Amino acid sequence: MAAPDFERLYEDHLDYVWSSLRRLGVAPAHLEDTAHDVFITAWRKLADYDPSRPIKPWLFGIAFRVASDFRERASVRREVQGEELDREDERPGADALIHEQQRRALVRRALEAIPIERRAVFIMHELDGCPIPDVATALEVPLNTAYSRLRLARRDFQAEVQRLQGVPA
Amino acid sequence: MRPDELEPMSDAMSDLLEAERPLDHVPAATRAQLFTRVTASVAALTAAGAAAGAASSVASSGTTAAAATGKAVIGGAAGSGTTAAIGGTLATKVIIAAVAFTVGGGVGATVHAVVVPRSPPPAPIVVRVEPQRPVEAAPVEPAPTVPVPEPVAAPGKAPAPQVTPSPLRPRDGTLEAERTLVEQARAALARHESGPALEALAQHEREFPQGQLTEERMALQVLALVEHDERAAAAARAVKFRARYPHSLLQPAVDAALAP
Repeated sequence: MAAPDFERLYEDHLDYVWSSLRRLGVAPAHLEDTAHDVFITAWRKLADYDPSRPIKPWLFGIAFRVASDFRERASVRREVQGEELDREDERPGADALIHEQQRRALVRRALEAIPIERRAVFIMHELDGCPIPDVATALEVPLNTAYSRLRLARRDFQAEVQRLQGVPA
Repeated sequence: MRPDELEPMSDAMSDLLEAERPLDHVPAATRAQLFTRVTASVAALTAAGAAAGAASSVASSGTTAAAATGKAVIGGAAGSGTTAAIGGTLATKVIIAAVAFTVGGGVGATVHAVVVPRSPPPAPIVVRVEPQRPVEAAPVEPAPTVPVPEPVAAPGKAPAPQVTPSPLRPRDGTLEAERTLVEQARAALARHESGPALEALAQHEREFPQGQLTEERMALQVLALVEHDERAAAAARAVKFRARYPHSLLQPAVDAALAP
């Protein structure tokens, strides 16, 4: 696989980076800033990228670190929490989550309940279809840790979906 | 734990996840705006790297410059607020180069001058950029350092790819009109003609108060006012710039331009 041209990289993968950042908990108001940081980091690190490997896990690894740092900043964290609370009031009840968009909203809400380290593994594997060894490489964690996080994330996700749907534990 | 100890997702949960599988589609206007910012940031880092290196005197002969081989000394990436240790003259060059990168057209990164061109302006210099590694004192990520996955050991790993940060391509007539004005200002400032530069920037401000190149305009206004010996006005403009673009990669260069 040839090394990607940077503009091509941007055009081909902006939607993926954007979606990944959102799934990792970046508030809509900060998606543009964090996507900017992801692509600048990618540009700086592109020499380290192995073109023989898929690029999405590599980009996700960068997005995960950018998103993690974003959430750690106290001011931003307060803002994110505020947005979450605001959204809570506007969201439909679990009983109404029956249509496709509402199913998507349900998934997104359930994702938010998963700690970010586990969520990253869950997103990469369950949504992006990335094999766990590639997940472990991209996130720089041992293989067993990746499997363990996936197991816990699945448990978290299912429990949150059931809670939102009003299913007794 | 072992993979075989992993319980599969239930069918209901797997079906539910299908709803989230499609990716968001970033609107065209946002794509273009973000691309402008990314290319400007790349240009700023590239220009800083080139200027910091010994080969800061990129000849105005139209040769291809390996622009990103030096250490990047520009700081102040998103969230860091670091002030770069660069002088005012260099700050001017960095901003001029970054703005040229942003508004420049054509194939490749058309940076008219990393050094201030003489009159008449030289032919554009096409800069082919290599990604920087390892970059010191150039935190681009929100954190001082963002670890990136280690490169996988691959005996047959391809050589480091060359990256060609692409120029902003005008997406519509409005952006083209903006580009023209900002480019006029940049070129005038590069010739140390602060009056015409300020006039072009004022026109841009009147016609595109919230334009896509507002960040570049405001940075150039600071430089032009300094060049025009209106330091108080430049400082006031710099305060507004910081307030509006607290994470701008042009911020360190703006600060440095005002340094005593």
